[in-house]
Amino acid sequence: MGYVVAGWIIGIGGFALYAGYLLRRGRRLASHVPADRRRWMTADE
Amino acid sequence: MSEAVALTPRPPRRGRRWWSTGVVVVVLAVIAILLFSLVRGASLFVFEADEAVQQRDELGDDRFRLIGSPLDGSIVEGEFEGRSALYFSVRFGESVVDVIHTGSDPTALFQPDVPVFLEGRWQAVPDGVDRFAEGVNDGWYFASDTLRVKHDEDYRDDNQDRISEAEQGGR
Amino acid sequence: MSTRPSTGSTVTRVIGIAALIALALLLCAAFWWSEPDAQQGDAVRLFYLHVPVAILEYVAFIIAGVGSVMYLWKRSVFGDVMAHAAAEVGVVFCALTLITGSLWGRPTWGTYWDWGDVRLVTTLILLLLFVGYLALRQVPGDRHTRSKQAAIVALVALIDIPIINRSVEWWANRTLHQRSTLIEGKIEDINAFATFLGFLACGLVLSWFLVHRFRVAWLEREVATHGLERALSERRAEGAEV
Repeated sequence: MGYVVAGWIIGIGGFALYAGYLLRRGRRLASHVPADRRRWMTADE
Repeated sequence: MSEAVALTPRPPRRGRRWWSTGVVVVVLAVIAILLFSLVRGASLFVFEADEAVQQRDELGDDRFRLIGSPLDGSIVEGEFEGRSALYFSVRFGESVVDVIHTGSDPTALFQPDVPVFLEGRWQAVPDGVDRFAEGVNDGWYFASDTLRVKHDEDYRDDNQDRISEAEQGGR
Repeated sequence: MSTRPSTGSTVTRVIGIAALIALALLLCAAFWWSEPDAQQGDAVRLFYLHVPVAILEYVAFIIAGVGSVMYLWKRSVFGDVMAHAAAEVGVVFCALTLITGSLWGRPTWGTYWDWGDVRLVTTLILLLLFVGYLALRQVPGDRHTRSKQAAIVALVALIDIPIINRSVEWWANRTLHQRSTLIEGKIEDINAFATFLGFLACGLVLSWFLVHRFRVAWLEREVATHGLERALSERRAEGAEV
């Protein structure tokens, strides 16, 4: 069961880490682009 | 007063160019190594039990991979040359091969009728080895040091199996 | 709620919340509602994560391929950005496929990895091809040339997908990896429902990743394209104030 739990932790943890990385990268870049050029991105997640 | 601004594009930073080019080169090299290892891995010849029996003379003491399913009632724990060993026999097609496995213990899935991949070579049965239970006992055995269990693609839950057994009168 | 600029929107929030709910249900289905397998026991509980992630990895790479064709054929900027985004998300899914597969292999096969197994090694090659693709996209130089080269690499890499997928059938008896359960095998009842939930949850995660990564790639392009213009105007404005 240890391998199974490890697999799930790495799987869900990998999703969470990548999601956090995308959000941080998005926020940093969005602040450098005028609002009229990112009209489909309006607010924080 | 505004100052003149240099508009000439700057050359790309060398660090970034080297880093990314380096990654591309490393990736290509690793892919080449992997393909080589795959071809080499595949070149460790794989024989189903019936093929291994047919080609025993040609194989000599070459190392190869043997595929077969353990026979029910054949698995016996014991010792061989001072090491713990598993004695069992595998079948594929019409042929049976007797096996002495001295490598690391197999997983819990190791059981009769679940196919196994074994790595090793043909050996003549030495003096002092008792007959293989349910085996072919033809004077030869497969000396295995690596055992992998291959599970099938069907999934049945444990309870369902028990219900089926009960319906058939139990074991 | 904060209004700091980000890559989020109402659509991504809805997808994100749906993904979190589906993942929570998937965890319940995998660990509590479903039964251990008659042969594999509890190890089967990784099936509900590993298999959907593996199949959706193909989807991400195929989207990268479609974007690459759009760029090569029509010079579509949308296609180029989509290909870049999908390739990166595909790499994440592919890496997780290999890790969860290895952790499943240890208690079932008896090993994390088998160098003679075609499916395992060709999946690793697919991962490396797309890591190379991402590295190629970082090589400085003319944007069009780089996008064209990357698109060709993506299309070449896609050839690997049918090999990976069919290898377990082509070498059915000689490969350690099981044959395709979803095509050849059987999975029923609550375990089939858990598999469905796995596809739903991981599909929502994939969609969320793709939308956000697409927007990040779009913003990168905007910064690269308009950054120089803005920097120049800011410098001129600073000069005028002096």
